[in-house]
Amino acid sequence: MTRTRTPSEVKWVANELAAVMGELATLEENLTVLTARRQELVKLRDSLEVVGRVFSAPALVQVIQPVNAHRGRRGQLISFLRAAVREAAPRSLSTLALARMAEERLQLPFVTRQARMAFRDNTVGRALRKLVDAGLVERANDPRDALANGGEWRWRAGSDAQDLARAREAL
Amino acid sequence: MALTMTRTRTQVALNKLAFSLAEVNGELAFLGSLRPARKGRQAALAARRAELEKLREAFCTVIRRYDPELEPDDLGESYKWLKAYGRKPTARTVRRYVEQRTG
Repeated sequence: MTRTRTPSEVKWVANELAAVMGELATLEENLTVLTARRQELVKLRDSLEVVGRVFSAPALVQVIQPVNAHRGRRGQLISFLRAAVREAAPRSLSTLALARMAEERLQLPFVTRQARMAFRDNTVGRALRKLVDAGLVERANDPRDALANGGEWRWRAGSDAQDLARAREAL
Repeated sequence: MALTMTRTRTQVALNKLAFSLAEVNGELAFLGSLRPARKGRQAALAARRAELEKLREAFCTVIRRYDPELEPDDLGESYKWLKAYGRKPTARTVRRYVEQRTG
């Protein structure tokens, strides 16, 4: 039996090519998502500008500074998280799982891994801590545990209806 | 103008959007009901119709942004805008409208 030996230089080139093609494929996919979303937003911006003109505010587009608006409707994320943790009770859910569920439910178009991680760590994490402060949710793991893989959250048992109503109002 | 941190949707804003769209629908229906105008006026009326179609699309897009569950296409027509040309929808009112739009 004869063995075919691929020359090292060809192997290296093939590996590099595969990596570059992979990155390009990811980029193309992201570009498609981004281009579609851009078209939607441009159409919306133009429509809002036209409506602003009808409402006697012709120069809004020049005056208004862009802001990073809420994801979905205001309060949508926290309501979703509260419902998800409550439904899972008495089981706990990890921050990662909750972030994935929220991403799917709220249809958030994250283009990069960093954006997804920032959403998980900052937005979802902060919303969960708010629920903890309100007494609706409790941590199921020790935050000082170095081996823990992110936070674990569970619906707080024993909160009576009045407490919950008060806590909800406070949110 | 300072922007607020919340994007609270108010009934006033929705009323205004819906009413404006109904006015646009009304003017479009009115234009559709007109007898063919003289050649010199046709172009001006066609331009107004195109402008209204654009406005209609913009209002529908914005209303859907306000609430994706709303169906702006189902909205009816309003003829309050016609009052600027006469109290009643008479031949004189129509003539005034056409003259102003094509003059």
